[in-house]
Amino acid sequence: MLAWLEAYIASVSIFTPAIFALFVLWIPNVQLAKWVGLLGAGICFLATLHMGYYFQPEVGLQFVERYAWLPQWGISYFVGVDGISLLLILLTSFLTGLLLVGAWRVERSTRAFFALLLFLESGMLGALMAFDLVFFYVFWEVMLIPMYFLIGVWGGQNRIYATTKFVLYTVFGSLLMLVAAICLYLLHKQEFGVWSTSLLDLYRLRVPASQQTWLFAAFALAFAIKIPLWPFHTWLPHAHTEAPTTGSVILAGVLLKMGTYGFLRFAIPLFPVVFTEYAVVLSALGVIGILYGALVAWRQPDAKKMVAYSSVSHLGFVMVGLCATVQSGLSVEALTGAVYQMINHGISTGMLFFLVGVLYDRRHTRMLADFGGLAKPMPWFAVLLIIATLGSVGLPGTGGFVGEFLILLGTFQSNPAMAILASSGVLLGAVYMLTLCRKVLFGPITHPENENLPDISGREALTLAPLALLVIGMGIFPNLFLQKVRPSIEHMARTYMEYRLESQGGSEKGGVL
Amino acid sequence: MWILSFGALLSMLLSVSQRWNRPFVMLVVLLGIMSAAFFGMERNGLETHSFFSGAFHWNAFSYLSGFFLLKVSGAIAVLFYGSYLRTRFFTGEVISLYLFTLLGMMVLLSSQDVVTILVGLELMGMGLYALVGYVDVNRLSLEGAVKYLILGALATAVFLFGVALVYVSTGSLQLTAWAAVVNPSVWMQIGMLMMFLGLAFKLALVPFHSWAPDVYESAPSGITAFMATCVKLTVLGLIFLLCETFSAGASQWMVLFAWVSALSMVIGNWMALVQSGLKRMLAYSSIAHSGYMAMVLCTAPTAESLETLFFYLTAYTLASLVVFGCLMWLEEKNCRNLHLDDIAGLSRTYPWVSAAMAVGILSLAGMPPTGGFLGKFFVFSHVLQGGHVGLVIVAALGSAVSLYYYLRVLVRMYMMEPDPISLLAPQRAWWTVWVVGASVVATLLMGTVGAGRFLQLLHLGLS
Repeated sequence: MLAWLEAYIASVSIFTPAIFALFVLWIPNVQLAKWVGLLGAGICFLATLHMGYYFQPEVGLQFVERYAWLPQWGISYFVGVDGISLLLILLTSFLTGLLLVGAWRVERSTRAFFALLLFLESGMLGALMAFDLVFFYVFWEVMLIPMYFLIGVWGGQNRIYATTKFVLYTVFGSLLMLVAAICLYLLHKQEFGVWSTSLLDLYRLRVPASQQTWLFAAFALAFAIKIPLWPFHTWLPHAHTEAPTTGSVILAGVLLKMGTYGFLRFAIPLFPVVFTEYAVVLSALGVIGILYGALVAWRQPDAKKMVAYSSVSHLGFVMVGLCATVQSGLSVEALTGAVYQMINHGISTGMLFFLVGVLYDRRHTRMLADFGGLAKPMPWFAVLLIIATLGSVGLPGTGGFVGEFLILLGTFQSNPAMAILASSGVLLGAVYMLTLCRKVLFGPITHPENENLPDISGREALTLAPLALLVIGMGIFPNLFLQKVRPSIEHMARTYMEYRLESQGGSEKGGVL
Repeated sequence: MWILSFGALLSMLLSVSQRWNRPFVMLVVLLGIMSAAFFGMERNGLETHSFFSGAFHWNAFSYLSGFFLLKVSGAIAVLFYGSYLRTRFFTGEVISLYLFTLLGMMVLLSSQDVVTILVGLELMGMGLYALVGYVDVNRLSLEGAVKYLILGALATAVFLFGVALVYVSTGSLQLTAWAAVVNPSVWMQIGMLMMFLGLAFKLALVPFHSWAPDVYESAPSGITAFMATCVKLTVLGLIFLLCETFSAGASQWMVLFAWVSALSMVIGNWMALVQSGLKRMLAYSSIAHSGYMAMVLCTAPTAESLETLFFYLTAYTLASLVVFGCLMWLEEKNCRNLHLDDIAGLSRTYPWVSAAMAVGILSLAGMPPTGGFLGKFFVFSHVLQGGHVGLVIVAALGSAVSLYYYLRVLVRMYMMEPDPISLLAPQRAWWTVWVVGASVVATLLMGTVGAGRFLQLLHLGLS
């Protein structure tokens, strides 16, 4: 039994949440259903832990499963894990488990809520592990549907506008990406004579530079909307503020990373020539995002909106890291830093959203003006908020520092100006984050209702404590995680260099669609 | 086919008698005739037969489409019965009209010369015109029927003119003779285009789409479903047949279809955005879907094109069955046109219906993991292969736009509170449940596990 499980561990982790979601919907007793859901998330987490533990960094793609689905079209169910996706997979299963604990007290249609979260988890894990373009696309779209319902049914005042904008904006990019993906599919047939949507086969494709531009643009647009890269970020503040707490956590924690993961997995390796040309542009957009996000966040009266804009800022940082090209190659430090920063952002921003949720549960308001001086009645809350803030800012000793440092290191080697602008983003980050802390925690208690607020309950501690430990742990023991990531990035950089050198020296193929 | 024609006549005779005119009896008769026809087809099998000295031609294509038609029209009949027919008079005539229409469709799909096509076209058309206005006699339905009749007659006239031009050029009414022409003259090309335009009316392609919203809305929902699914299948099959016949003049009509499909997708999706009546919205979405299907006609008429077309049609038909089935279940005796506000908060009052409707809507929108997504994927791939990049981009953008109005339905159902004074009074109709449930399952299967097997089936049947 265990041997069988081990062989199919990837699929087990993808589909277990979905199966348990069906159980949750089926069971009439709400309490039992919640525990069953939690069990499903737990099993999935154990499966991913197993993968994480037995992952060997030097080997490359592991836990691979490949079954032909539509052989005459060359589409197969192809999943696997490598260093780039491993940490994200662990983050996803870990956060979903915490989410279910955090959502324990939801009263309206609890089973549907849990089931949607579990379906979402399946979608995310599938997208992270898929190595076949069609399956990636399927899981990418599947991720949207539960999120749509989560925001639309359990969200705030303006939820319908927020969720419709979110879905339409994302789907717009995705459909163009689908067209580009089909073009790649046809180009592969043209060049190799075989139909295939498998990513490994498509990596070998040498697309002529003229066509690369449009295909890259389509892929980049879809991912840029998801990241969100300035100026495609306008859906984010609405979606985050109107979503229920757990919805915001998973949105910020994992879904946004899908955009950067997409860049890393698809846009960069498939189209290296064009990427190198436009890396500066994307990097500049990232920097604008950092500064814009930080400045706007500073001025927000609503705590959730502030954290939402901080996400724009942080992911701008990740984008700068992704676009750090060194002498027409990829900077391994910056990319590793970007991957690490993705995880850190997920943890610290997830924690921040949980904390804002705690405040909302207490007082049913998110406006910073309604709080103040909470350090006195809620000391543990204060501790956790400070830890989350410092993790978000990137204080040395937290994971954020490691990520930001690596990114800045890599960027400085190629583009010092960009690095200097980005580091000012670190400073601004500290500004608005500490403003948040000051307005919420310190000073005199201005509202009498705040005097007797209950501190963190046991359940809330259960969700927040692991995150806090990770924030600090990832800062003190970064190599534990980085060693798993780095070889895959190095491999990617090597193949990137080979492609670049080949296309510089070789001739352009006249490939026409 | 003989069975169908006799069956239609039989039901018409029976309807005269009072005793036999009860709805349930009629339903049994209908289903019995359909099963008999099915077995008759089975007996013919996949071999090629010719009837009436070459006027009819029964081959694998006719078999497969006939099979499909019977299944779908049977399902629709069941749904229809579950919602309306039980409380109406004149059910015998309705059934016989239904059967005549079906007969017309099958004639169309197995025709080899243009007179047969005309007979089939008219038979199908007349039946539909009558069905739109016959079932529930009120001003709206009658208006719809008359509109359909007049515009349909206009389309048939255009078609006939095209036929005349081609006849003058080739001197024969046989399709095989037309196929043999290698270098079509100008008159033949014009005639060809006019024939296609006349047929495009039936599919509600732009610029002949104006009847669709009005007629879809005024017809009883079962007939709307019939029009949206079976008619599309028949006419697309016929157009495909004609494309194969006219392969000499391919470049002209490919351009025609490219333009027509692009406009249909744009206008269909655009106009649907502002609709608040559910059936009107579905009519415009039907125009857009005709556009997606017409895209396939822009490529060379090979077996692969036909497979792609069929796959998309099946996905679309299943999704339509689900959506219209739910609508019929909700309308029940009222026969009223549902408005978006009527379905507000449906998930609270009727969770299973809204879940089924959600699956149907998502399939129409082309979201994974439903069959609709794979349909769109295959169509996009096929058309890109043919080289029409711009067309596919228009289609992709149209799909994105369409998501807005499809999601609006979901928003109403799931994210709004139900109106306390609701006029919906559906009854427990297990017929409807069966059909809709089966269609939902089929849609989901088609998008995931069953796709491979279905494609193999199509491949066997159509190659």
